[in-house]
Amino acid sequence: MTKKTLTVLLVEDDPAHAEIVRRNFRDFSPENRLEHVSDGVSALNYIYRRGIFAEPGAAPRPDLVLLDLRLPGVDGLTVLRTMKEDPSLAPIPVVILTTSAAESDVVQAYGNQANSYLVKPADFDEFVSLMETLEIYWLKRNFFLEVPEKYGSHAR
Amino acid sequence: MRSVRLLRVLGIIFGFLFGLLLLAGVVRGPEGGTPAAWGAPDFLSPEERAWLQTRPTPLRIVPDPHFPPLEFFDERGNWRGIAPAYVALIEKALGVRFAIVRLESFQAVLDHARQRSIDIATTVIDTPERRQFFLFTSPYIRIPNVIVVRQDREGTLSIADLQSFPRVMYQGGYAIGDVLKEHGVTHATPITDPAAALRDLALGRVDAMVGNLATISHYARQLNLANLRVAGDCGFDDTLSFASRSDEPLLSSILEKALGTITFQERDAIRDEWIKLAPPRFYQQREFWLFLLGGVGVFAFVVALLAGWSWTLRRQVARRTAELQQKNDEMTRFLYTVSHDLKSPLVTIKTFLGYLRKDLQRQDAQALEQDLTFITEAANRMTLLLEELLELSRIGRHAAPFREVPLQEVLDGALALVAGALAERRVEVITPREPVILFGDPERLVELYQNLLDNAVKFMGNQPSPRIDLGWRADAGKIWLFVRDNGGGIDPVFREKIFDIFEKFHPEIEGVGMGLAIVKRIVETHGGAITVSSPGPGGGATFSFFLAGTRGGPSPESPSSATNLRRSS
Repeated sequence: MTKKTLTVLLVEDDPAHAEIVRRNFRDFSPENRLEHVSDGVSALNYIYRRGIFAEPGAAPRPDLVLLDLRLPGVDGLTVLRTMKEDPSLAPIPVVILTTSAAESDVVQAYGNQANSYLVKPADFDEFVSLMETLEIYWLKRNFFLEVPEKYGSHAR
Repeated sequence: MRSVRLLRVLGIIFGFLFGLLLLAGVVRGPEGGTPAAWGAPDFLSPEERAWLQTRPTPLRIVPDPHFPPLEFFDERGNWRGIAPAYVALIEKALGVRFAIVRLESFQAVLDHARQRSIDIATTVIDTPERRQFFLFTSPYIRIPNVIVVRQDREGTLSIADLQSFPRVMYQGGYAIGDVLKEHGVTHATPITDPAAALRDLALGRVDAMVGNLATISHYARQLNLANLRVAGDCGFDDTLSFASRSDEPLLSSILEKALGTITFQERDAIRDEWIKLAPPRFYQQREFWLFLLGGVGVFAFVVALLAGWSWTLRRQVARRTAELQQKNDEMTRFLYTVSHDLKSPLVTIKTFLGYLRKDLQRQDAQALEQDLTFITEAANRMTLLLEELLELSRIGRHAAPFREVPLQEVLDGALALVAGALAERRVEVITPREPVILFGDPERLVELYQNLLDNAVKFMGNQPSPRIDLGWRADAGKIWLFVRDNGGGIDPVFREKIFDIFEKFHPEIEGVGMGLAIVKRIVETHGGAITVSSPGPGGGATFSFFLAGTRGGPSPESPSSATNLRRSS
């Protein structure tokens, strides 16, 4: 089975948090590609291949979007809504990854058809574990419909 | 010496008081009932005086026993009414007491008079027939004869109108029957018992009654007949006189003279006491309606006032509730933002502490250095956030009392604080020509301008000749202050949220996104509001705001010297 390289778009304004995700990605999913933008406008530009993303090949279609809610200017919820209202973009799974555990945020995110809602844990091990699960669930299981060894060992 | 004078003054005072007492005694003299001591009254002639003083027995005075309210005997046998009031005054004037003889009827009075067994009758109508045995004084009371009907019959009536009334009765006054006949009222019947007749009238068994107003009103009141009213005047009054035996002409002239001493005021007082014209029903009185109208008016006014007040209160409550709701929403949003923004660096710190541990295990000094940087930055950010939060909370509390402060003074303070940044970016600053006076906490106002200037410099973009225009304009009675720049401008999508706390649109620009939140807070604590307008990215931005109590004109302590175009570059 030929493994296709998957593209994950990370929308995260906090450089430290972006660094954490990047490191986890490197550890768990080195075969895939991580693209990072730091605000809502850039995220929409990427998706619609506008501005600096207009060049061919500059913005490969993401197979997964990791979206922070609190973003400067255009917030995550607007990005989510825009994507889900566009039939050509709606199938792309969007996982909300945020520090907010506020009920209103969770409700609004799922109300706008977020595919998952994950709260950034304030703990190293938990964060790593979360990223691992995320990788397995959204990049391996959903796309290849096969249970990798890692999944088996992790499931225990 | 002094005591002698004092005695003399006291003597004068006592003498004066004594004189007064004596005078009072003289005036009270005749009341004492001892005419001999003072002599008979001087309005009488010597003969009359002599006649009066030589009477062996008291003069016998005989009332009509059943002629209320002119005269009657009450349940205790006291002679009461108008006549006795006159008699009391006559007795006083003459200095004598009469003997009151009570007979069973007026007819008996006339009978005794014919036999000369009485001296004076009190309420007699002067007729030729009675002059055979009576001498009459001039009439002392005149009482109108009236037409009385039930209240349901409206309008004014004259005697002639009574022809159409089936059942008419008249009180047995001497001449009324004749007067009625003259006007064609031939079917009227005389009354024997005025009380019974009035009751019949009230009950509808009789249609009209004609009679003496005094008697009718007396019985109507006594019987509580409230449904009767006086519908018209007969144009014919009963005139009543004192009558004295005709064989004593001196007595008649004495009575006439005594009657003459009674003043009009005394007569009116007596009349008012005994003849109370049945007052019109309350609803027939103009005053009642005026009063009612006034009352209703006042009531309506009070109700309107209360309603208005209540409406105002309700509006106030609604407005305050909305304000509170807004504040509450703001607070919720604020807490949400704060908790989120404080949690972010915490996530960073804790996670990178994990990496740090790994770095130590691996002895990777380079990675350790890098991860420490992440932690330090997050901690620094947290410090900054907390400091700004503290600053924001400080604005809400009134540190200094508000006072008037010239705008120029505020601008000078703020420009000094941002002078470095302005110079670095070579920003041209234009200050207003016309002076204006602000009202507030000068320190906060400086902070307000400092933040707006900071913001303008920060977002100047790549403008080659940066300029900030500080000015004001009057619009719709308000003085709007503005800070206009020719910098990067604002994307319309951000305009709504630009004043929100920790709202940063440009991650690459330093700061935690608190400056404009502080600006908004200061404006609001100064009773004002702030808006921002921008033609869009690259078009510059204008922040406009007003503050309560801003006024034009130079300040008294700093006359208009602030009219310069200043360059701080």
